[in-house]
Amino acid sequence: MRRTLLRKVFPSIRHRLLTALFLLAGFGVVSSLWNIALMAQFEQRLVHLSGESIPVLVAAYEAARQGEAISKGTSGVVLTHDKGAREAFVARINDQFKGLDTQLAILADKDIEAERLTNIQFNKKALLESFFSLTKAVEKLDEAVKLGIEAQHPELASEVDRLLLGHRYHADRMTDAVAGLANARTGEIEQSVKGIMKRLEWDRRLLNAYTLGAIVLAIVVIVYLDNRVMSRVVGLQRAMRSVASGGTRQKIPRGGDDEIADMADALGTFVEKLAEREERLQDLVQERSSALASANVDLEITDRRLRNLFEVASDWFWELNADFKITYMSPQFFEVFGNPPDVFNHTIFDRLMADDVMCAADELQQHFLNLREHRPFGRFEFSIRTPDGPVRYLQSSGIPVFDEKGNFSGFQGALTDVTEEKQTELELRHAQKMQALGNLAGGVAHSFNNIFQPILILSELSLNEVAADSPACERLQIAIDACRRGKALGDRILLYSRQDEPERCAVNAHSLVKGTLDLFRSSAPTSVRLDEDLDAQVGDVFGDSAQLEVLLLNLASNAVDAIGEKAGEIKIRLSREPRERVEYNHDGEMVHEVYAKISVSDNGCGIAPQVMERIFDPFFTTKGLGKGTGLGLSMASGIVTMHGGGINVSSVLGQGTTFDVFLPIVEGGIQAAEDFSETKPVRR
Amino acid sequence: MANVLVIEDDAAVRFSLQAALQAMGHAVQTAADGVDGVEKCLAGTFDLVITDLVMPKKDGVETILELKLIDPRLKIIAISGGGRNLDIMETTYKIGADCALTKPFSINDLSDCVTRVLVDE
Repeated sequence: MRRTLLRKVFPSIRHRLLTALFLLAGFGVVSSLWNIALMAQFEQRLVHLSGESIPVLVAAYEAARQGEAISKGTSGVVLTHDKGAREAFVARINDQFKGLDTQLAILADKDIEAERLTNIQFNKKALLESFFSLTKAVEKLDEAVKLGIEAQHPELASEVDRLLLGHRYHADRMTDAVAGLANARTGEIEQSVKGIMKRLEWDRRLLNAYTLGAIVLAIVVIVYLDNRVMSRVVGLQRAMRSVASGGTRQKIPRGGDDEIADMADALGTFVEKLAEREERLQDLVQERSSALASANVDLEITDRRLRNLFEVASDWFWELNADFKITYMSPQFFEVFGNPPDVFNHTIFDRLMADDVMCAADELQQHFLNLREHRPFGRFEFSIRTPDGPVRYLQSSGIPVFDEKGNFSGFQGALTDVTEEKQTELELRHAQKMQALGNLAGGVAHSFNNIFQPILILSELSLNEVAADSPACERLQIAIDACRRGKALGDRILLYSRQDEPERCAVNAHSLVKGTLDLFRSSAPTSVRLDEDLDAQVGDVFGDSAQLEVLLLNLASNAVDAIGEKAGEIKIRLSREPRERVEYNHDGEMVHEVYAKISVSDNGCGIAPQVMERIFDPFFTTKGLGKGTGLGLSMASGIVTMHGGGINVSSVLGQGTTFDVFLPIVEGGIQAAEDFSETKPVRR
Repeated sequence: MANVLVIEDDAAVRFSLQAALQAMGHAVQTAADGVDGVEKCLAGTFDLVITDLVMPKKDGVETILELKLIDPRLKIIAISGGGRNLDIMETTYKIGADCALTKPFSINDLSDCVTRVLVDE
């Protein structure tokens, strides 16, 4: 109830504080005025005292002193015999009487203690009379002394003594009266001072009580300030600091209806709202975080998926930046082309102009133009020589990439290794060529056979009909032989054009080479010496003996052609070689342990390096028109490949050529032979 | 001594075969293509037909099939220039030829084949 009243009267701290301060100031003013009033009162009393009593006291004192002086001076009058001195004494005493009179007049004027004053006047009068009488008596005595008759008149001296005593008596009486007056007046003063002191003491106590009250009031105000204001302000300040440093769980000291309460309410509301907002924000953040985390996971999955796809993709991916520098390349690229450290430091232009890159000049020019003009491109084809030597054919497709502002930021694209396709294309072209050749050869062989048929039969008929000693007999025989050779050639061409799977069986390598050499020797020119070194223990190869014979005959006849008209030597070697010593271009693992190596070397003209690459191409020949079909080495290569073997050429121009044929040796009987007949040879 | 019909589009081959067969003592008639050959076969009586496989109008395989329809016991020797037709030679046996020869063959080859085919009869 009282609190509500207080709040009604002093609704705010400001009011309360101002009221408290006004109260304290009022206390101070009242205290000061009180003090001043007291002082004034005391001053007035003191002035009254000094104005009333002190002159009385002074006068009394003076009067007493005059009386005493009169008393003492009288002794001087009595004692001196010098008249002049006596008269001076008398004059002085008279002056003192006058002074006494003055004092008494003062006292009388004060009109106090009239009885005592009367008494004093009476005594003074008596004293004056006694002094007069005494003066006269002394005069008489002095006359007597001068006359020397004092002894005769002792009554004179006694008279003087008596009068002196009386005089002294009166002087004392008067002094006593004056003293009584002074004493009375002193007591009065003392009483007055005591009263003042008593009042003063009372007033002092009152003032002390008043001051104490003021102090208590001040303390109350201070305590109030500290308790009701400062502590709350400090609490509020702490809360605000905590809020400022981000705390929203801070408890805000609330309550009351003053300014601090208002502030606390405002802060509390603010903090609540802040907390609400923070909670909402946290919810939102959590929501976003989880969304982000989920997005991150998705992104990671996508990234991993992309990376996996990138890494397993048959295509290789690349990226260029705006300066056309290569900034990304699929790892598979480096697996094939090694890891040249400068790939990422060069522009695509430098890289494509490098020595190991081959490309058609006009296509390269167009490609550079596409890149420079930020145009998408597709299937730009070029080849790179791998560090191991083989060339890989690549197709590059790419699109320009622009940032959100539309500025060119590079290219992204893919490289496709089209080496296999190229190879297949080459093989397909080869196969088509072979098929065309087969058709052609078949047709030609068919026609030739039809042509040879009547020649053969009619020659035979004619031969039967001519005499044995006739020259026609030999001529007809030559014609018949020619027909047979023609048939053999036709067969060979057919064989080549068909290139079917050979009819395989175990063939003794030594017998094969030996037999072929015997056949060859009969047709070889005499200018060529044949040197053979054949290991009879080589073993069996698994294959078609007719085809292998053709193969060896081809090589041998090539050697003869390489030697030409001059004298020369052909060395034929047959040896057994373990896998490690087999040297020819081959794909994949060699599946056979041991190979038969058949070397055919000549010391002929050799093969020029530019020719070397093409010697196995069908229809490629360096021999003159009508001398070579261009099929010999192509056929040889085909036969060797079909037999799961390989062929290797080494040649020095002007010094000679060596063909090494490697054929797998079968060991362990027919089963093993059949096993490896299933391994398809790889044609290169 | 047999009646032999030679069906062959190449005149030189036809002539040479006729000469050789006559030299062996056979009576020989010739036809230049399958259509002609089938007609001649219908018109006459033959112990043996020697037919080429690659011929205009009607090829050898068709001719053999028709001849076998006319007279299943008719002996037939298929001859071919080889080449792409090597595989066809295999087929001829399946459709009824008794012997097949790849050109160019000698008189001996022909004689052996003819003798073998006729003896079977």
